[in-house]
Amino acid sequence: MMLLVKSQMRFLLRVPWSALTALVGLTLGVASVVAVHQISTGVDSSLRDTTPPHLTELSHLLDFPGLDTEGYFSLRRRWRLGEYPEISAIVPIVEGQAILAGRSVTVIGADWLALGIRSRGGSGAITSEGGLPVIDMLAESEVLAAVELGLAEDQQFTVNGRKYAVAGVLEGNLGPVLFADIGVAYELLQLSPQSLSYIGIRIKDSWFSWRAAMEQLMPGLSAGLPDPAVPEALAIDWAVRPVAYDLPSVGFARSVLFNLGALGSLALIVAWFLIYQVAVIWLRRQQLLITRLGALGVRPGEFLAGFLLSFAVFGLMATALGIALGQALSGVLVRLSTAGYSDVAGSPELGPWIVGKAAVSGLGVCIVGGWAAFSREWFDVRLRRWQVLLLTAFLVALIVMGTAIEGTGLLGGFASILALSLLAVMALTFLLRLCRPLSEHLGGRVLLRMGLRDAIWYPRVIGVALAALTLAVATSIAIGLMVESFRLDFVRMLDIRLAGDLYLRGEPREISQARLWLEAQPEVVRVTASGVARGRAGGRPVELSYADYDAGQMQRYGYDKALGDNQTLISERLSRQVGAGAGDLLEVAGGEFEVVHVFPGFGDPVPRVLVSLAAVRELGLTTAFDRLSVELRDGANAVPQLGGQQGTLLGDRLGDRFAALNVQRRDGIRKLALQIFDRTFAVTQALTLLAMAIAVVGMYIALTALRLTQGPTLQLLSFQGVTSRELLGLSALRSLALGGLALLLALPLGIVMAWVLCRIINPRAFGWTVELQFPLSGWLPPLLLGLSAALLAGVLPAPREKGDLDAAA
Amino acid sequence: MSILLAIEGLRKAYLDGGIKRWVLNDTSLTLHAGEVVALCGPSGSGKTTLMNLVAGLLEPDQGRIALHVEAQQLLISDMGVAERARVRRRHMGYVFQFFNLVPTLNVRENVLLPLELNGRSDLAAAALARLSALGLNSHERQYPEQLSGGERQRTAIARALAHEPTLVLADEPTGNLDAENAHRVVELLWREVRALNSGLIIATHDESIAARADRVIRFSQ
Repeated sequence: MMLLVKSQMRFLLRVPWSALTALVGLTLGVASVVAVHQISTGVDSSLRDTTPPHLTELSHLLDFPGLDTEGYFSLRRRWRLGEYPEISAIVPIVEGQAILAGRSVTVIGADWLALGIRSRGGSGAITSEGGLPVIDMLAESEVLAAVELGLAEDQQFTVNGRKYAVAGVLEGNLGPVLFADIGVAYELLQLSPQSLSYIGIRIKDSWFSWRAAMEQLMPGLSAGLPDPAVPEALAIDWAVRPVAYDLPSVGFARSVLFNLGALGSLALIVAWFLIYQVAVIWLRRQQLLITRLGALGVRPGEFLAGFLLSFAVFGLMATALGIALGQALSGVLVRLSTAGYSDVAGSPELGPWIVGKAAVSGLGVCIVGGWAAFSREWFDVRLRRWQVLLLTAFLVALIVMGTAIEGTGLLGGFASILALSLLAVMALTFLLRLCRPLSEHLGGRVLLRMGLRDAIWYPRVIGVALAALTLAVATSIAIGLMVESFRLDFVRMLDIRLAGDLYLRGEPREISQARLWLEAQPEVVRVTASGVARGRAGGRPVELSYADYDAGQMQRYGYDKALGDNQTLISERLSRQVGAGAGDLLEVAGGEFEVVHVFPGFGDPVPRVLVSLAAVRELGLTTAFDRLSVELRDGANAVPQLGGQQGTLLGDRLGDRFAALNVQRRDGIRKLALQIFDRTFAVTQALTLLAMAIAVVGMYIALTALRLTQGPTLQLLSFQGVTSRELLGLSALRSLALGGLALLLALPLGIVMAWVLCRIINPRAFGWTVELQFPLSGWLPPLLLGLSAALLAGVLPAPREKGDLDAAA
Repeated sequence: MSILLAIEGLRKAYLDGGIKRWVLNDTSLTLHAGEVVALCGPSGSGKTTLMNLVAGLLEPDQGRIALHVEAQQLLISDMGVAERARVRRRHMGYVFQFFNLVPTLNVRENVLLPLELNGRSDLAAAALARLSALGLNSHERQYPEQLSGGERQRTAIARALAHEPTLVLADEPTGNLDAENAHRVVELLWREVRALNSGLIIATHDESIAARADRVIRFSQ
């Protein structure tokens, strides 16, 4: 056996160029997996840091109109009597605005002891000089300050004549917030002891260990697992909302991580194709040796063992290199995606999970790829026609079931994508066979005909590499279209959620005064007040947004008429939950409404309905506006600089008059949000490029193998006086033909994959149906990149072909 | 008969383990139009090297190779790579031991390959007529993989003569054929070369083939 392994290792040394390129390809594949894992770990840690501390240990928030401490104690009594066994913690929380040094800050007070927070962990979220003390509990008159407030640890400040000390500074984009024990918060906010804003609860998660394992395996993979269920009895008395509602960025980031994980796997799949291709080529080059060994009585299994052991050594080398490269790559990609606005740790330390994943990836790809190639070459395993038909029918059925049956969940969605990819690979072989007779009728120059036929006639040599390129380009197109569509949806979401040039939130009394003042300002065109109430629709707890919804307001939600008093718009999530759509009647807070439109939820975990102000009043619900959207003069909107200046001026005047209001400028928020979006997806594009690079290596290896079979043709061409420039043209033409074939399949495959991602996987994972769009920027760059990649892979061996020409001489 | 090829004082050496080994040492040869010269000798004696030097695929260390075409003397030994390729393309044909047909071109396309490379479509009818004379008219649309060994070599001969070259070089053209096919192929090669009044240099181990040549040059190691 050792002799066989030695023989294989010596063979690898005799084909150093081929071995090196394969090693590079596999290393890139492993590096992709490592980089994605490390980035995800960094982002996950960053997400934990940006989560307000009072929410980290909670799963849901409870509320009802007129909530006070009696409501909390009543709930706690029932919980302690065992009425809600699903709940593991209950925490009272108060929240409000206080004035600190003339500036409006948010104060959040929670019962830290009940919450059980010991530390936030992560990358030094709670800091102190020397970074040592970890805060278990806040003492009387102590607060935690968000870094945005500019307060230092141990710094003292005065509010309402009383002194407080900063026990720690919280990093992360939390905004101007002070966190305090609930008693201190009452003082800071000057609330009565009976006041309470909401109650936080933690529901036991029976999927917790599965969720953790799946996240380690592939970030975002657990998105399809069911959320911890809220006790039915609780949902009757309380308006329950998941904590995720207050953390929209977490949902978005999870979505991104999910896509990154999928992309990391893609690079590995492409690497598998590459290894398979290499194994086939190497086996063919050793045909004589295999025959001789067979004659000496070596059994196929023995040769296979030696072959696979040599591949395992190869895989281990790629694993080690891939870990090192992936570690460096993750640092670069994180810097690329977060430069300047986040503290995501670039390269977390190597843990057992990532080393294990890298080893399984590198070794697995080598062993499975080598075994599959050996089976094909040694046993000449080929599918018969009926087997192909059966497999096709099975794959089609898988696609239909995975996409049409919602119950198949994320698994169904992924199975569809996998089946689509396999179908495309089969279609590629079919296409090559179909093209062969057609190519016989080709006209034009003889070198042109040779180049085009070379691309078609050798499916066993280049078919696998071509399939890998097809998949890489198709995925690139799918991701490109999905990202572009996602971006358009994201902009629409910003339009809906960030309506107006200025956005104000605060107490209804302040909001009412600010509204009157704003309406008197010359640069203000329009002020829209809105509020939110909690109720039920179709038996489900929902948030009712109410305002004077005229046609202009409704357009932001994709509905072009004013909202009538007996009409409602419902969010996509509610539509899915209650199975209602446009034209259906829906019971909302005791009244009957016609659903006139379903608006996209953009991942909003809370089911939502829009109803007119008059309708809310008619239902007997309390109405209080707590937010204002302010539209400035046309000129101010049209000229960003002018608009920005006026907005700032107006904002300053607002700040002076209404210090307790939270004022946000829309264009600033939009700009930042889009910047974050684009930078985040820069990682996605980089990973797609990585998969494409592996595909190029695969193509290069395949074309080099093709070149090996064409020695006699090269010899002839050399004698016929074909110059190296003409030979380069022949190589380029052959590559373009191959690239063209790959793209012919990649474009429709990419579009279908994008559709599955937008319409099937995203809504199942995140409740966000992305409207698939086809902007040029989504599909043209991947196509051109794929073509360039094929061209590069074809032209790279040309210098060696010239060498062969000389050798032929 | 006019002189087609004149080789004088040709020397060529290879480096073998750091030692310079002379394969050709002061070799001279003259070939006339319509003449067939056979090169005989053991493997490694320099037959193929001489043919590659004549074709301009190798550069001599010393000596002179001149091809006489249409009252012009083309001094191959003094030419650059591109110029030698051009001479080869226009004025020479080559028959290989292993046929070297392009697998993705059918018989007709293989034969017309030199004409297309030279832009000489005017010779296509004659080339196809020669193909027919070689007994391959029914195989025109077939691909090399569908042909027998003899058919492949006849196709290779038709291709080597398609552009009516001044000089044909054949390196062991029967080395991969059975005796019957070998005899037939040589017969056809002789006939067609003489019909074109070209010169033929054939490298062979087969004494019966060498015996039919106008002249035999023997190489020794």
